[in-house]
Amino acid sequence: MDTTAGGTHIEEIEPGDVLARNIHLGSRVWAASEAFFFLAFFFAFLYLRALNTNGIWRGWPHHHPNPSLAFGIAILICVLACAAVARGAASVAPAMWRNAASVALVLALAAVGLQAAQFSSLGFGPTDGAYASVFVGWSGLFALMLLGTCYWLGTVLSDVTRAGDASPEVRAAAVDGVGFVLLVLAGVEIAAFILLYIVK
Amino acid sequence: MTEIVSGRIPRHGRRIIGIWLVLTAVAVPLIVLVLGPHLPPGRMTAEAASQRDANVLMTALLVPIALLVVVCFVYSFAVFRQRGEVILDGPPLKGHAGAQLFWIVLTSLIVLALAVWGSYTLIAGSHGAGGGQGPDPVAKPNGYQHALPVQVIGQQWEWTFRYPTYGGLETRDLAIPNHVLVAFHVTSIDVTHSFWAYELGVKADAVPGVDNVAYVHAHKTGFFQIRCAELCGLWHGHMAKKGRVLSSSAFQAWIAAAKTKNAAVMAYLPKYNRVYFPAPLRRAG
Amino acid sequence: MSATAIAVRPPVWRRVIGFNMLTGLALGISGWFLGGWIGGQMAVGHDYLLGTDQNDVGIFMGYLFAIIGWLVGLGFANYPIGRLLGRSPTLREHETAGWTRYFKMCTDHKVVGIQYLFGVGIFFFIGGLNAMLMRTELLRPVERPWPAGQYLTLVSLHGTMMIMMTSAFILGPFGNYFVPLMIGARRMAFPRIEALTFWLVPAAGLILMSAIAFGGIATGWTGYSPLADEGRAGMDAYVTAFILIAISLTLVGLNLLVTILTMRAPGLTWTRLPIFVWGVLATSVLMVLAAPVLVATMTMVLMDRAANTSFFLASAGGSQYLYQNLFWFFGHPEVYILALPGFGIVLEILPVFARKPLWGYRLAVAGMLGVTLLSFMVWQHHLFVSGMNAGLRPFYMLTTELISIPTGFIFLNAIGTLWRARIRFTVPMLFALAFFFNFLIGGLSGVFLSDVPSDVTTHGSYFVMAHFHYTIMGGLVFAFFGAVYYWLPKMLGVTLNETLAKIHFWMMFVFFNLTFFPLFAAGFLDMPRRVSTYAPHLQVLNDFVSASAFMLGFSMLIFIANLVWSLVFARVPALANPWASRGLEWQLPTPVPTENFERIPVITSGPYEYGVAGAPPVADFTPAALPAAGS
Repeated sequence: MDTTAGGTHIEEIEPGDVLARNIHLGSRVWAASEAFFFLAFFFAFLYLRALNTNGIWRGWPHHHPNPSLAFGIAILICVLACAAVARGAASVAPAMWRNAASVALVLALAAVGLQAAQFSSLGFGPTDGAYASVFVGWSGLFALMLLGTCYWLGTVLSDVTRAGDASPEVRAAAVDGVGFVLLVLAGVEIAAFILLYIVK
Repeated sequence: MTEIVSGRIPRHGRRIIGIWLVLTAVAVPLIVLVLGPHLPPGRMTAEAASQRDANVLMTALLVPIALLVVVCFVYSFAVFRQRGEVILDGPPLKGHAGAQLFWIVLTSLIVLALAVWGSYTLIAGSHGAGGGQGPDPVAKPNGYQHALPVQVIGQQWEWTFRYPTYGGLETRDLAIPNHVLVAFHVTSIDVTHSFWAYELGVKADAVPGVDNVAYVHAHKTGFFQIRCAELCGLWHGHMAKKGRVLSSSAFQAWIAAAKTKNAAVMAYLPKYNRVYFPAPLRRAG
Repeated sequence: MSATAIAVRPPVWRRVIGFNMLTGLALGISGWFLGGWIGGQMAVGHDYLLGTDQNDVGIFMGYLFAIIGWLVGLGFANYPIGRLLGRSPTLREHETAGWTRYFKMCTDHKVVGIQYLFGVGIFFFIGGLNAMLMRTELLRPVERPWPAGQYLTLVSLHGTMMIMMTSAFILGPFGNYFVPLMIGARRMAFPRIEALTFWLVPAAGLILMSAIAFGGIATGWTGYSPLADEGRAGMDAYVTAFILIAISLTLVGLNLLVTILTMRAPGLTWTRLPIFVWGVLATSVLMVLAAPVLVATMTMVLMDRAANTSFFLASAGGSQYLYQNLFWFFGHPEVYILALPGFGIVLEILPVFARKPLWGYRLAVAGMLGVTLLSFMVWQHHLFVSGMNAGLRPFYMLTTELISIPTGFIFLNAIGTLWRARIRFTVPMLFALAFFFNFLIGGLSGVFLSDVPSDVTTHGSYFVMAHFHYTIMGGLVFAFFGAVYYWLPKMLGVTLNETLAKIHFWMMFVFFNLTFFPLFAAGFLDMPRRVSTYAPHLQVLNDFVSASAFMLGFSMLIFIANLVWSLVFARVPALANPWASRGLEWQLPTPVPTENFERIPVITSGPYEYGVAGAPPVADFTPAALPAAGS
C-alpha cells in the first residue's frame, strides 16, 4: 500500500489505557454531536408544526401522508433492542460481548432494512407538505447514521475474530463506546417515533 | 518587589485616570453635540428619533470605554517598554482579586443597564422602534387599532404597496400621511427581502407567508429612501426607491390620483390578504 | 504494509503512483462523472418535472462520488476495509520522511499542521483575491466591470470561503501542530481522523470553487432559503462544500477535545494548561455541538433542492424562519469558533513578550468558558427585525450584551499583563496588540447591533459588515499572523525576515483600519450589504475604501514574499527557542523530532512563570521512570 519505501512506522509506545480512554471519551463526544444533529430535525418538526404555514403541515388538502405504523413499531423495536443488547454487553454481561455485538449488528441492519422497505411503499412523497419533509429527512438520515454505527460494530467483531482478542482493554472500550452511541440513537428513535408516528 | 516599586503603582493609575478623564471630557461633548445630530436615521418619525437617541447614547457611552482601554494600552507601551536586546523579566504579578472584581462588577452594571434601557426603549419607549415585530406585535403604540395599514410586498426585485382601507389599492410608489400612525404590514411573495425605509427608521424583513408589522409615526413631511436590506438575488441593490411623507390633504389627493391611475390594474389583482401564497415555484406533482 | 529493510529511493514516477493527492484528484474527477451518470439514471426527467434546466440529483451524486473518489485515492478506504477484513488496529500510518508525505494522508500531527497551514492559507488568499475583485466593482456605483450575477458570486465565494477556511484557521495549523506539543503528548487522540479532517478541506474548497462553473452562488455566505432553493446549480456546490467543512469541523473538535482531556502529560494540571490550549478546548466544545446542526441544516437545503421536500418553502408548508433559526444556531457559535482561538493565541503571546505571568489566568479561562456557554443563547439577535418571536427580543438583547462581560475579561487580562511589564515589540507581539485594538472596535460596535433600536438602523447594512470584519479579520486574522510569526520558526525551522515582517504588520494594520472604519459610516449612510450598486454620493467613500483595500491586499503579498524568501532563498535556521519562551513546545529541538518527546515529560510548573523567583523549569524531560501518559 505504501509506495514510499523506507517508511518508518512508529511503535506504539503509549500504554493501552490511553487508547481505551480516548475511545470512551470520543464516543461520548460523538454521541453528543449526533444528538445535536437530530436536534435540528426535532426543532424542525415542532417549529413547522406550530407554524403550520399555509395550512399544509399535514400535506395538501385531501392528501394527508400517513406512514405505516407497523413499520414504525418494527423499526422502533429493532433499534431499542439493538441498543439494549449492545449496552448490556458493555455493562451487564461483558463476557457475552461477542454474541451481543453480533445480535446488535443484525438488529441494526434489520432496522435499516425495514426503513428502506417502508420508504419503498410509503404512499406519499417528500413533496407532500412539511410533515412529509421532516418524516423523510429524519427517518432517512437516522437510517444512515445507524448504518454508520453498524460499520463500527462490524470492526469490533471482525478484528477480534480474525486477530484474536489482542488488547481486551481497547476492545472493551470499543464495545462500551458503540453501545453508548447506540443508546443515544435509541433515544433519538424514541423521540422520532413519538413525533413522527403518534403526534404527527 | 521593593517598596519603591510598589510605591509607583498608584501614580501610574492616577496618570491613566487623569488622561482618560481629559480625553472623555473632550470626546463626549463632541459626540453629543457635534456628531450626534448627524447620526442616523434623523428625526423624521418618532421611531427614527428613538433610534437616533439610541445611537447617540451608545456612541457617547462606548467611546469612553474604548478610550479607557486604549489609554491603558498606549500608556503601557510608552512607560513599560523594554528597549534594547536584553530580555528582563517583569514583576510576577498574577492577578489582583480586587481589580478583577471591580472590572466584573463594572462591566456587569454597564451591560445590565444597557439591556434594561434597551428593553424599555424597545417596548415602552418607542413601541418596537420601527423594527418588524411579526404578525402579533408585542409593543403596540397608543391607538394602534386606528393605525393606517399599508401593506409592503417584496418580490424580485420590486416593492409594491397596498392600502386595504382604500379598496386594496396597489401602487408602485409609497406615500404615507404625516402625523398619522401607520402600520406597515411587510410580506413577500418569493424570497426573503427586508424593507428598509431609512429616514422613517423602519426595517422589517419581508418573509414569504408572514405578515411582519412595524409601526411608524411621522412628524415631518418629505422624501425618504427605501432599500432592500436582505440579499434577495441578482438585483438586490436595485430595490431602491423614494417614498414620501405627505400632509393629510396631499395624501388624500395622492390616493385619489393613484386610484384613477391604477383602476385598470385593480381588476386583475388578487384580493387583499395579510399573506399571499403564489403557486410554489418548484413543485412537481 | 511491510516496508523493505533497506531504503532504496524509487524513481519519481514510482513515487507518484500510489495513494496520494494526484490519485485522489484523478479518482475524484472520475467519481464526479460516474456519480453524475448514476444521478441522471436515478432522476430521469427530474429536470423536466422541476421546470428547471438542471438535474440537482445528478449534481449531488456527482459530488458525492467525487468526494468518495478523492478519499479513496488518498488511501482513506484502505484502513476501514482492512479493519473489516480483520486487520489489527493501528493508530498511525504513512509517517514517512521526505516532502511527498505532505501530499498524502499522513497521521503525524506535525505534518497535518503544516498541511493545514498551507492548504487553508491558499484558500484564504483566494478568498482575499475575491475581496479585491469586489472592491474593484465598488469603485463605481454601477455594475462595472463585473455584471451583477458575477459580483454576487464573488461576494458569496469570498464570504463562504473565508468562513469555511477561517473556522479551521487556527485550530487546523496551530491546534494540530502545537496542542500535542504543549500538553506533552506524542500524537493526537485519533490521528487518522486528524488526517481526514485536513483532506476534507481541499475537497470542500475545490467543490465550492466549482460553483463558478455552475452558474455561481447568489445567496452570500448565509445561503438563506428560499433564495438558495431557486438558485442555480452553483448552490449545490455551496451546500456540499458546507456539509464537508462542517463534518471536518466536528471531527477537528472531537479530536482536539479528546486529546486535551485525556492525553495531558503528568503534572499538567488544569491551572498549568497553556491558555491557548484552553482556547482550543472551548472552541472544540463549540465545534462538536454547533457544526452538526449545520450539517443537518445543509442536508435540509439539499433535500429541498434535490428531493423536493419543503422545509423552507412557505407555499408548501415550510418556513424560512426555520432556516434562519437553524443556521444561526450554528452561525453564532461559529462566530466564537472564530474568535476564541484568537483570544487563546494573543493571551499566549502576550506574557512571552511582556515577560510577566499571564495576569488573571483563571479569569481568562472563565471568560472563554463563559463565552462558550453564552454563545449558544444569542442566535436570535440575527433575527431582530425578521418578525419572529418579537417578544423574545429583550431576552436575546440581554444575552447578547451579557456575552461582552466574559469578552471583557480578556481585555482585563491584557491590561494586567502589560502593567509594569517589560514589553518587547516583536512582530508577534505587534500582531497580538493590534488584535486588541481591532477587537475592541469590533466588540463595541457589536453593542450597537445588540440593542434593538440601534440594530433597526444598522441591521443588514455595511455597519454589520464592518463590525464582523473588525472581529474576524481584525481579530482572528491578526491573531493568525501573530501565531504565524511566533510559531513558524518552530514549525518550518527558518527565521522570517523581520524587516519585511514589520512592513507587513504596519501596512496591514493601517490599511485594515482605513478599509473597514469608513464602512461603519457607509452603513450609517444607508448602504445595504451585498449590493453591486449604491447611492452615487457614496462613491468617494467607497473609492477610498477600495484604495485602502488594495493596499491591504498588497500587504499580504509582502507576507508571501517574506515567506518565500525566508523559506526558499535565505533559509536562516531558527533557534530552538528564539523568544526565550517558557512554553513547553519551545523546549523541544527544532525541527521537532517525529516522536516529539523521547519520554513523556513531567510538567513541573506553569508556562507563564516569568520573573517568579525560584520557579522550576517548565518540565522534567528525563523523568527517572517512564510514567503513564495522562495525568
